[in-house]
Amino acid sequence: MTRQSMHRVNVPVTIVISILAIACIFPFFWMLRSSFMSNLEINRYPPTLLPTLWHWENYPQTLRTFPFGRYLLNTLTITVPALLGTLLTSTLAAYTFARLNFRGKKFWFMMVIASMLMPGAVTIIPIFLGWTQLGLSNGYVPLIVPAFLGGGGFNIFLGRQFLLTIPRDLDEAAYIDGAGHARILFQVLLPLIKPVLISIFLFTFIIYWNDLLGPLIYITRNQQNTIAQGLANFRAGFGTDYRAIMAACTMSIAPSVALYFIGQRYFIEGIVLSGLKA
Amino acid sequence: MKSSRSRRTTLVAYLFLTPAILGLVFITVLPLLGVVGISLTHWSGLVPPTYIGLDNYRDIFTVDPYFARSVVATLYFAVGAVIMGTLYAFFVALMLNQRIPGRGFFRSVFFLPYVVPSVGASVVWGWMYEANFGVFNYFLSLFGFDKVQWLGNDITATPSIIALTVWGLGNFIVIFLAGLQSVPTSYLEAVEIDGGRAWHKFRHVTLPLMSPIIFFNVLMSLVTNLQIFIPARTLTKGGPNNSTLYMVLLIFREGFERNNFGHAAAVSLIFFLFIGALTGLIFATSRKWLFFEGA
Amino acid sequence: MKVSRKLLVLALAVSIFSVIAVSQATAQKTEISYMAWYNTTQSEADQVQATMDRFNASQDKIHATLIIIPRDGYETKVNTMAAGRQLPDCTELSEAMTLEFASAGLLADVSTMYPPDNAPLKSLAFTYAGKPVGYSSGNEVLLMYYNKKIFDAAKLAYPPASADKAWTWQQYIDVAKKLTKDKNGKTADQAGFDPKNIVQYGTDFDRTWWMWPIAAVSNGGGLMSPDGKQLLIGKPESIEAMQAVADLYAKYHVAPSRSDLAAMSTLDVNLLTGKVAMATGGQWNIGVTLANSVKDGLDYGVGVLPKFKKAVTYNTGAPYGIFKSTKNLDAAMTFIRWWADEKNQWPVILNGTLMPVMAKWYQTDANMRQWADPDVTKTPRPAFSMYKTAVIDYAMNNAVQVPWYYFNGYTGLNDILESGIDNVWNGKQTAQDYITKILPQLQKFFDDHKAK
Repeated sequence: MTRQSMHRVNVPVTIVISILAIACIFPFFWMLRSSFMSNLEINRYPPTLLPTLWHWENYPQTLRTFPFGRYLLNTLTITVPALLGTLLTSTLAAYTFARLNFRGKKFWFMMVIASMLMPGAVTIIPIFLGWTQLGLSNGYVPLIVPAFLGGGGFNIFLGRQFLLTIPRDLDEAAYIDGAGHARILFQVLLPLIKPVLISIFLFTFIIYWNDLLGPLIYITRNQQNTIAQGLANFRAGFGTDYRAIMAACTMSIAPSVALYFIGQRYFIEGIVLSGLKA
Repeated sequence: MKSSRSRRTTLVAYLFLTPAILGLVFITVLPLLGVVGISLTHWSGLVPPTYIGLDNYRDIFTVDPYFARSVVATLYFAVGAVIMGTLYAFFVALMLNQRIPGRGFFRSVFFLPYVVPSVGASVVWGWMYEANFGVFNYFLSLFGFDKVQWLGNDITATPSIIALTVWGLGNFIVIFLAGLQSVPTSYLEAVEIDGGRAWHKFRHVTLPLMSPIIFFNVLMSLVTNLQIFIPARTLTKGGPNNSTLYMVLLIFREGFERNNFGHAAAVSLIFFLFIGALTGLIFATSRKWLFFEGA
Repeated sequence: MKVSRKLLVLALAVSIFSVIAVSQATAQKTEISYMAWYNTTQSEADQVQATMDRFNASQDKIHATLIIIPRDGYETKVNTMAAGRQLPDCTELSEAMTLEFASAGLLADVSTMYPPDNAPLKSLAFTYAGKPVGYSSGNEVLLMYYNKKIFDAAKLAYPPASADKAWTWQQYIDVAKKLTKDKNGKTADQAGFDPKNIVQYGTDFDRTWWMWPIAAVSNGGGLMSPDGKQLLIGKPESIEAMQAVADLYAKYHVAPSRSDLAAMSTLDVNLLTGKVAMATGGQWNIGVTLANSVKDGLDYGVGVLPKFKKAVTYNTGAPYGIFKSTKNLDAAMTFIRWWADEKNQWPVILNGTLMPVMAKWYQTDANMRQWADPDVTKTPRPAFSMYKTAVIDYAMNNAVQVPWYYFNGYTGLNDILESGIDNVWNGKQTAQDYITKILPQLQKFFDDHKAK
């Protein structure tokens, strides 16, 4: 793939793609650049490309009214258990569909597929009212528990597809050695399904990290706000203080971007997996 | 021996499936029934519900000033986002598939917006769209155009949100690129031998082979985009003139701000049927243009 | 012998512990929770917390915890807490929600909270089924603010500062025209004026949903009658006034469109930068926005709204509510009485964010000066002579209540009214057409919800 890029480079395409890439990166650049300006400079029109003076202090100043550390902790408090729950329960379900034969298998698998196309936004009202009956509608519980209930049809499906590509030889060998299904799954297969697990990890991370609707409904106290909530509130309040908003925004997207740079390869592999294997 | 083994397998299977089954029941099935039930009541959350039969539905189709517009706006947005997103992603993937230096680098760049949280993307784009100081209007003014109220004008508001959504579709680009790269060169060579040029290769080999991938991703993307919420809530709150009052925002507002759960549930049910119908439509017509290798 | 000594020590220890425990129990404070919102910044929230700390320090029977939430999304929070039966003991309620909550039976009866000789202004009571269910936390009225320097430069008289001198609508338009400039320096009353390139707007008349109907009231109409029994928005006077407000932008080009406005800054910055020469707004702007720009050089004045037939303004103010679900009604009432007492909120009254609630602060000149005279308060406020007539007298003599004081369901009614109102504000549809179209729905909703 890469070897052919050495010869006869397609120049027009390269130019076009470079321009598009610049356009694509531009919002990031603009956000960073605005976050370091003073309020006077940021409102200057025509806008300047780079700040004349780099106001590093914008960040600590913004932190005083935008407690990013707390938001980060809150978001992690939701996301980490959710990741655990999703990985665990979707793997269990995926293994069941990929490896086991049992009565009702077709039926339940159809249900899983159907739930993939189920738009989640349709049921926010009854689910909320359900939680209020349980007295748990204020806090993190409603946001974490669904992750432990199968983690979503999409992840089960993905896991199953991936497992199907793994030959059963190792399964058989372990079975002959007397291993039960749990052992087969967690000891033998687990290392082999790492790619799809990482995939599920990344998708789930993005979904939970991004979620705004859930926190809006279930999180009441300010101290429990997630990053998404905090940023949305911040923008609503600070209508005109754009440099603070941009600084808050930069902080808010930094974890996701950092995760991306660390695990870029897995991200891309995972996306390919989900998009093609389906 | 076999029957006890199969019984044991069934036991293990259901044991492993318990969380998922619970999920299906409590997250999908019961709430759907709940939506139906709640939609037949007048329930404000403050007082116990009262049964009112189909009144909510009657109101929605006769009196509610927002419902029809919301459906249209949502459809407009979702179809626009899916079409533009697919075209954009395919276009970029096609180019990335050519002989260019640093393909991996470019792919990274185009993928990056996908990991940006939706709220963050909305806030940044909101600033760029700002009418007086935003950079987009500055670019326009360089070409001599007047300032545009991107998010303040009911004609440009939804397209502006479409643009920001399309920007975030890095995953599509990656998927399409991988799909393009998985097209067997033997097929492409066959077309060449028959005297075909790039367009023939595209139309007769690439596109048909990619059609399942396109189909699947378009479908998922449509369902996702019909449920758009965050940019509307963060940037426009349904305005201007209700042009961005998408269905989920309407449901949220009716339920949680107006305390009208019965009405919101009725809207939810209609929304669900609406999505189901669209999905069904796409599946039904898929036979016409889908191609399964060896199927 | 050793055993009995051990027993003695044990008994002593137990009794000491139980004495401590009992004294702890009796010294234990009543816990209540109070919820409020902040409008813009975390520092506003900090101020509220500071006041709360003062309350807790001022007595040792009650300990109050503050739940503070951004204004945006506040209704959602209160609603979800109500549905989840997790309401605090007392709260700041949005005006529109108050009667809804009262009709659901969620608000405690507060008619005994104040003695008749030391009570809030009557205009500030929310009533349901004839009983008061809440009192506004502050008195707020709509006013006209203006940038003095712009008026001086144009050699025009300032907007009048007393109701008897209020401008007629035509006078208002004429002044606004002279103050609306395009980029070539032409004003709106001159030939060749370019409405596409306005650099300074003569005025803004706030078209926020609950504010603009004051124009209709002034013309003899309004949204509904003050007894909440008659819908008035369909009357020709109301429609005429609505059209007049829309024409400020659509016909005379002296006001920005609502989307122009959304892209502009806050009231004070708009006046300071000369984007707008005069603008209507709530009294709270004095403390919430205008004070910020005073230090940047803004010299502003305050006046009364222009009139059609009568000089009127709206009064409003978010009430405090005590929920019936509270387990500590007396503690909650004590807290609210303390919290609502102007002396405990003195800073926000002095700085102009709120006006006092209790009648006594409006009764003598000495009392008024205590909170309204900038020479006494040492805060950036308009001069007392101007403020007294333009604001205090105006509020006492010319104010009518926003309908949410007595109509349960203003939000729902407004949902219908607002559903296509942008077309009227933008000039794409006449007020007559629009109101005629939605009047049946409005009437039906009104009839369903009005007090029987």
